[in-house]
Amino acid sequence: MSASAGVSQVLASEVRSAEAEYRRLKRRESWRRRILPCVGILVGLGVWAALVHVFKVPPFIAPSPLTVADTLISKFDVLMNNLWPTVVEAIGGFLIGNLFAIALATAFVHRKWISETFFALVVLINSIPVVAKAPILVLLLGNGFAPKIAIAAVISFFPTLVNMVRGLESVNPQAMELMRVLSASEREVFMKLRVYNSLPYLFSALRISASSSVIGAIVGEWIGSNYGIGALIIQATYAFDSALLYAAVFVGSAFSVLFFMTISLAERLIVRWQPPSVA
Amino acid sequence: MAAAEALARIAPGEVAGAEQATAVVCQNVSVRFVSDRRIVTALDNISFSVEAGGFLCVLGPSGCGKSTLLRVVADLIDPSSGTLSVFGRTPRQARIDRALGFVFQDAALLPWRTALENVELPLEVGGRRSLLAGAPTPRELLRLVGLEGWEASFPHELSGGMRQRVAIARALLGGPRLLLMDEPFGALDEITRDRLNEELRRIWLETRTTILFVTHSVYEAIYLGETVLVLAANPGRVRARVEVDLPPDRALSIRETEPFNRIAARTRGLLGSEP
Repeated sequence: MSASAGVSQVLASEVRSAEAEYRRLKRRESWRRRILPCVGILVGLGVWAALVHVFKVPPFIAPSPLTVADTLISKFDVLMNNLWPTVVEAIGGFLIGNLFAIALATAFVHRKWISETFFALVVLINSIPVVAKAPILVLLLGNGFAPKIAIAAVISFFPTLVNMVRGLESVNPQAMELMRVLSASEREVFMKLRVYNSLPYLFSALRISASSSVIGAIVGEWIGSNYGIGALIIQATYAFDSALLYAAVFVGSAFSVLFFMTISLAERLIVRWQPPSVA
Repeated sequence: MAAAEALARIAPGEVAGAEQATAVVCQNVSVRFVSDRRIVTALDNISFSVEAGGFLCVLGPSGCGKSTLLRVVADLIDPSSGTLSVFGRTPRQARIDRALGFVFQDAALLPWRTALENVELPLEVGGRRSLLAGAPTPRELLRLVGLEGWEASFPHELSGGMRQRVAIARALLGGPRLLLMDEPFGALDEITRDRLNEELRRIWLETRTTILFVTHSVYEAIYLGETVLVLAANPGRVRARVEVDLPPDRALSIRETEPFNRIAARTRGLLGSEP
């Protein structure tokens, strides 16, 4: 009796030390995964600085990373004043484009003829490159925020429409039969089944359109605008101010990454049911 | 077993005065599908009946239309000809009255709902929003299928067998008088399948819900059923009806006994014989 209790105690302590070892390895793994990408970025910046220094690249062609960092600090006000319009346009376009996409996807799923009639038209409009759509919208909507928001919206619209239709339609056929056995109405099937089923699809589209709406806003600002990150990029290019150009690009991408990460975070908070392997 | 008693109490006499001796009467039912200009006869002139409180297993090779037959009873497919009644009502009325529960081959749980929320789903759709007085609650049903303590788990955290248990609990919510099961254990490993077979027998003995169970396993059909309806394929039709003369209280080991093997041999012979 006491012998077996002793054995089980030894076993328990072994299990504990094995668990501690496992946790230690796990911690090291997670640190590795965080530190190594940072090392990679630092190496990239180092190579860049070395190249500019060794080949004596003139500052109107390309700046050294240190000059860019300097500009980021010294022209912080200018950069921020131009970032805000871009942020408003990108987020505004993102919201409008995605809302329309979700509404149209809902209509497509419920009324087959709407999808059969208009899907080809939507594909056709989507096939026009953004840089070609932008001037058309500028002519239609003038020089203010409206055309930039419209471009960001148009660019966000398509991936969400396609993914949302797939998400709403690809419900488990046996779950559909279950709903039928339970005499659920079309509305109940939509609210209890289709909407939830579509959320993983929706979020993968939202992650795409978070980045592309920023592109849309910047492209919109290239054409006839004197504010925003896009306008700043154009002005800096024509003034051969490469440090400002790089700083503007950096601020634009930083916002884009932040936007993307916000959507990813929202997804992780909302879509909690999917095992990671399925995503 | 509070849940089982509650189910047994409400199941037989839910509609006062409408006590039916037979649960399902199926007369000359045929189902034909049109595909590629060809007409495929899935079910050809099927007739059978199940008495209330019975356990009928529908046994046949793949393609014999046994799943189609179950879907006709559940009002998921309209028969091309023939008549069907479920507790004296049309399948449609029976469905609207929530007289039947359905368990699918794939558990068909909604992955964004916990086990308990999945069992509660029937209370949120289809206009039936409250349980009849005395009917077992979702929690009691999870206990009945042996999942007490797993209420808050999501389907991806449960094993295949546990998911089917949740599906069975969901199908039993509201005390349906007829449980339709479409190869519910077909995708499970043999050990899990055996255990669930045993539990389904127990649940049936405790609740006395009429069960219509589709399978392609001879052993499963005979172990579970009081009656086995043997179907033949192309087109799906009734080959024979085998009465299973085994005691109601069956342990899994009954499958190694002489009477069981005799019935199994006869049934397998019926499956193999050409028309």
